[in-house]
Amino acid sequence: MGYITGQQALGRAGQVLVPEGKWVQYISSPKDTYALYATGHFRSAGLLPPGRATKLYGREVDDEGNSLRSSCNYQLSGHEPGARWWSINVAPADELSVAASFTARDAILTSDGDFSLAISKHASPGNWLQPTDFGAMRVIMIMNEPYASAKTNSALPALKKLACE
Amino acid sequence: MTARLYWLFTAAFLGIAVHIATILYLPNASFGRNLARVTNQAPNNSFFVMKPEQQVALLATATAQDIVGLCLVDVAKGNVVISAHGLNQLWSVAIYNASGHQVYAINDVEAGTGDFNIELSKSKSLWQQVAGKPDAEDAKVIENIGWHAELSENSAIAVLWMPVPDANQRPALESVVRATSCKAK
Repeated sequence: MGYITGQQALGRAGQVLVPEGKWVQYISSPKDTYALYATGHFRSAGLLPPGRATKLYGREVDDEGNSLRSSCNYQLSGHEPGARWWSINVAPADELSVAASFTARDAILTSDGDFSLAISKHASPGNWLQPTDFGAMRVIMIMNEPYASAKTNSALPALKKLACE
Repeated sequence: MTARLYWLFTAAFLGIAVHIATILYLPNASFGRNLARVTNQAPNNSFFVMKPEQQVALLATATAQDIVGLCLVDVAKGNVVISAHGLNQLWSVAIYNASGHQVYAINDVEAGTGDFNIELSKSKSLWQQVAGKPDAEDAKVIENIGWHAELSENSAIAVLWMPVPDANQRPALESVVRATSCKAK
C-alpha cells in the first residue's frame, strides 16, 4: 500500500491545473510543502526538474477534452508566449522529456503578435510541428525567463483538433 | 481489541515507512541511473557539451535545438571553478544539488558579456560555523574572482544552457560554450 501511494504521489506531484484551460503547470519550487514529491516526479523519470527561471506547461487533451493522438491534426493558436525564449514540444503521453520541438527561432507571427502552429504528421504551410507515431501524445510548452506579464498564466494557447486519420 | 489495534498501528506504520522509502529511494535511483547513462560516466569536474539526444533525456526543459553543457561537480577535495564566456544573448548557468533542487543560477543579464567565473565551495556545517574563525578573518581568504555559490553537499550538477536563435550561428555558439571549463581549484 505504501509503495502504491508513493508511486501515485510521485506521478501526480507538482502539477497544477491552469484555470480556464486544459494546460497543467509543472511546479517544483523547493519552497513548496510538497517539493520532495514535485522534484521526485521529474527525478523518477530520470530528469532534472525545471529551473526557477523556467515555466513548464503540458496538456494531454484538446480544447474539447479529447485525448491527444499523434495521428490527428491539431491547430495550436494564441498570443506569442511572453518569455525571452519559448518552445512548443510534443512527446509521448507517458514521457516528460520532449521528442520534437518548435522554438521561438522558427515562429512566424502576425503583426499583432499572435501565432498559429499546425501539429501534424503531414507538412503544413506556416508554423508546423511534426510528431512521430507516439499514439497518445502530450503537448509541452516551455517558457524560459518569462516576462512579468506572463506570470499570471493568462492567455495560454488554445489547441483545436482539426481531423484524424 | 488490543491485538487488533496493535496490528492496525503496525500496518499503518509499515505503510508510511514504505511510502517514505519509495519517494526517497525511487527518484534517486532512477535519476542516478539515467545520469550515468546520459553522461556516459563522465569524470567529475570536467565540462562537456552534450549531444542533442543526451540533453533532452536529462533536462525537462531542453530541446534538441539548444546547446547544453554539463559538469558533474565534486567539491569534496576543494573548491571548483567554472569559467565561461558570456555572450550577448540569452544563456544561463544553473547549479543543481544532488537532490535535483536548483541551488544557484545566473544568466546573461546578471553576468553581462565577457569572461566570468563561478566558484563553488562546500558550505560550512553548523559545527564549523560555531567553532570556526569569525567572519572578519574569513573575509581575508575570500578571493574576488567573480560569482560564488555554496553547496550543502559534495556533489552537484552544473548546467550551461543556451538557445540557438539562428541555426547558422550554431557552430560559432557551440565553440564558445565548448571553451567553458570546470576545474578543481
